[in-house]
Amino acid sequence: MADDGAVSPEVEQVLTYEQLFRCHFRSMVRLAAMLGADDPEDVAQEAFVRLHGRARTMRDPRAAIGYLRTTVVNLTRSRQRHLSVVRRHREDAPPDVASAEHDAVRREAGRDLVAALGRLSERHREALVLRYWLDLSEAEMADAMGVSRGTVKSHVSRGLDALAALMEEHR
Amino acid sequence: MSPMSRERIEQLEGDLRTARSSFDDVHVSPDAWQQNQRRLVVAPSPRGRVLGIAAVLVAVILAGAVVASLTDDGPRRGAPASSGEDAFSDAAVLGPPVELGRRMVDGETVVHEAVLSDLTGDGPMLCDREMAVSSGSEGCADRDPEADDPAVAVDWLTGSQVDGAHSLVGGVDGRVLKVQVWMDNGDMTLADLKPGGWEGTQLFGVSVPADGPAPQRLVAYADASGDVLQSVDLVDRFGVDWLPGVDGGCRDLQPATTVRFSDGTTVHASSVDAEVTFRGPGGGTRSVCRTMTGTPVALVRAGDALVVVASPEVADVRLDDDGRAGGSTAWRRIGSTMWRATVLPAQELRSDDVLEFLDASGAVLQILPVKWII
Repeated sequence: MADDGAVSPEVEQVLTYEQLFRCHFRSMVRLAAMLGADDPEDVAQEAFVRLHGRARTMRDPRAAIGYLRTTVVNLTRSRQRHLSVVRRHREDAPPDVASAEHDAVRREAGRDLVAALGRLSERHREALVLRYWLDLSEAEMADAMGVSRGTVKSHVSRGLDALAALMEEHR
Repeated sequence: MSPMSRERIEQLEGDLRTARSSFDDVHVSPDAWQQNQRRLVVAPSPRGRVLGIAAVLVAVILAGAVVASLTDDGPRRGAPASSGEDAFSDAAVLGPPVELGRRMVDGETVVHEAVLSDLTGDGPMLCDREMAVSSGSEGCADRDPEADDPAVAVDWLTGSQVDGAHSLVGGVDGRVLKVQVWMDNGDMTLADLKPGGWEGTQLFGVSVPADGPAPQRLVAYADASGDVLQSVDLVDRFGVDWLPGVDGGCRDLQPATTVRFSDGTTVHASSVDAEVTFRGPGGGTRSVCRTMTGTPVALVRAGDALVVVASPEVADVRLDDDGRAGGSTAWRRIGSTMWRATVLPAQELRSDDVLEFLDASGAVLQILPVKWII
């Protein structure tokens, strides 16, 4: 499977839904995991289901990869908010249990950095993931996050500051 | 916090890129495609969603009628989809209540407020209430199930129409700079967006008395350049009863809602449809009726011309890639409706051409292959 959605518009245009799925499902799971989704595969599946439902009415059918990316970002953000609300309403809720995905991550090098990234605000985390892990351009980031390019720059800069502060705390 | 040094930033950037490999072995089920196909089978169809929205609207209107009779204050907006008891309590609200408006009823001031609230942990709801000293009512509406979709900016929207008086309460996401509210007489007003106190959401309310024009279309813009995030046709969203007395099939056309072009083509519109009349190949006239709900554009091939009828957010039409029909499009408003029309030369259109309809920022709102028109 291809990864990270770096596909030219010409290629994109001729991909069927199944081809899109087979080429990009893994990269969308990976993006959801990077953003800290509790069930990255489920997020990616939902994003593809929405793409399928939207395919006939999409403004521009060539924009499928951007649409998927934005949907994964929004779904992950929404689920994290929902989980935080659920926790607020359940006083007896068990403490956070790391997913198998995160267990694997923590065994890897850089786990402290990944953990610190998970403590950032969702916007800062999104900005750093899209910038440094997906190597997206500012325009692509702005599209995925639903903000202006100026706001993207601000989130990256402040995200780095916040990440540095968290890493300092950890030392 | 003091600014980081260039070296520290570069080190952090390098560490981040190195940490990316932590996700190289992300787990993907071997039967992911098969799972996806099973999900598609059970995913709700767009038609199902429309019916769901219609069902909610019926509940809204019925509830509105009950509330109106209980409070004896004449027609008022309907209570939303579910009970909003305690929705305004400190434990439930996600932001401060927002005042949407005030009115006098039987000598009492009635204040209309809205708030984003989470009563059950199932996610934020938009709740509103009308409160007077001696009476009050409140209710809540669920968030649009597709609110996380980037094509959706209007995350909450409820409306009621009682005896010709219309009311809307909505919430838009933080990307939205302004919301135009287009009326069925062609007038436009901007919704007064107020911070909802939760994740950038902005709340608004629109109330129009029975003797005023009916809200017909919402257009949410991202910026001043005219970048459209979402438009909502309220007749399409809420059903034909939203505009009482309006019939489809070009049966409600009024003489004042006509525009005539120099080649003799006329476009005659109502709130919900448009009739294009043009000279046919034999010298006689032909008329074609097009519905205008649920679509920002309607097209009629009239001999060597293409007649385009469009909603207000459509700024331009162009042919994909080579721009042969590009340039600024000269729109003419169709009488006292919000629709606008233009006539484009169609001699050179090929069946494999694709027409793009753009907003004022140049973003594509709709794409239509010419072969669907000819």
